[in-house]
Amino acid sequence: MKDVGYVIAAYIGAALLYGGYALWLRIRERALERGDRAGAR
Amino acid sequence: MSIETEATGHIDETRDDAAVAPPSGRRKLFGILTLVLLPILLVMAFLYAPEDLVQGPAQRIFYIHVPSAWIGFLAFFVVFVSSIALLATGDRKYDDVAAASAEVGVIFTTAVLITGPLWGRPVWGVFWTWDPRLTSYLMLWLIYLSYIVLRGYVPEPARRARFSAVLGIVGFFDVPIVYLSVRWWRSEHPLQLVFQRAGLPGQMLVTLLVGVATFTFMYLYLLSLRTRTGRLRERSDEEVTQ
Repeated sequence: MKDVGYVIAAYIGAALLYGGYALWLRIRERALERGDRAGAR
Repeated sequence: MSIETEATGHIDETRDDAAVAPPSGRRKLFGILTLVLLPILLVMAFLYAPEDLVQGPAQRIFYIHVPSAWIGFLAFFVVFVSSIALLATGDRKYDDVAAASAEVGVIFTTAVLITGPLWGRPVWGVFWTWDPRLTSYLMLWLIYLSYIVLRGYVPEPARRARFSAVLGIVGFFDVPIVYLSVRWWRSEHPLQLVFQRAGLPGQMLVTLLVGVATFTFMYLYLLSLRTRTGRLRERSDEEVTQ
């Protein structure tokens, strides 16, 4: 049962990494389109 | 312009195409395909694929770990090819693609370095061991992390493109070392037996292939998004310096 915890942690970790990166890129893209350099860091 | 560039081997300081194109329809398609395939992959990984008799539930990490690793290799291959194209033609569009693919590749390799130890702990009893595969993979991650750091330290676009292209070409030579490390040296890491006769059972193989397709579309989506963001950032930098 303990092994299931590692599996869930791996899937959640990967989802946060890929999802977080995609979200960060989208926020940056929108900020740069608006000309907001500070918001694109 | 391009003939002169090719003849002298110089990389343009300025660009002919000042405007950044709007997001392409293909990018939207890649995003939709990723969002459609992701839940299918999850259902297949947890309900369709059988549980491994030896490793138990921990083996299910395989369906995100291996596609992340393979697409990471693909991302670095794109850096390698784009870097050669940049040095051969001097066209900065190849630098845009190389920079984007390196960053996306680092994300994929980071996912491998997160999921690998979480798989290793229940199966090997440890999160990390200085095994040839794991060590060479960590080196690969560090090489492309240094590629990103290098780009941040060179302000002149043409020099930055040239320096990073050299690192993008040299760094790729670690990929075959990573791949063959389990054959060259004694390693805890399993061999790649996926497509061999005595390899993966059918349901596991199909789930893996769905995982590879999902991660390929996700890579293409992220690459397209990151390339455009890079161009927007560069245009913004040019406007500030003018």
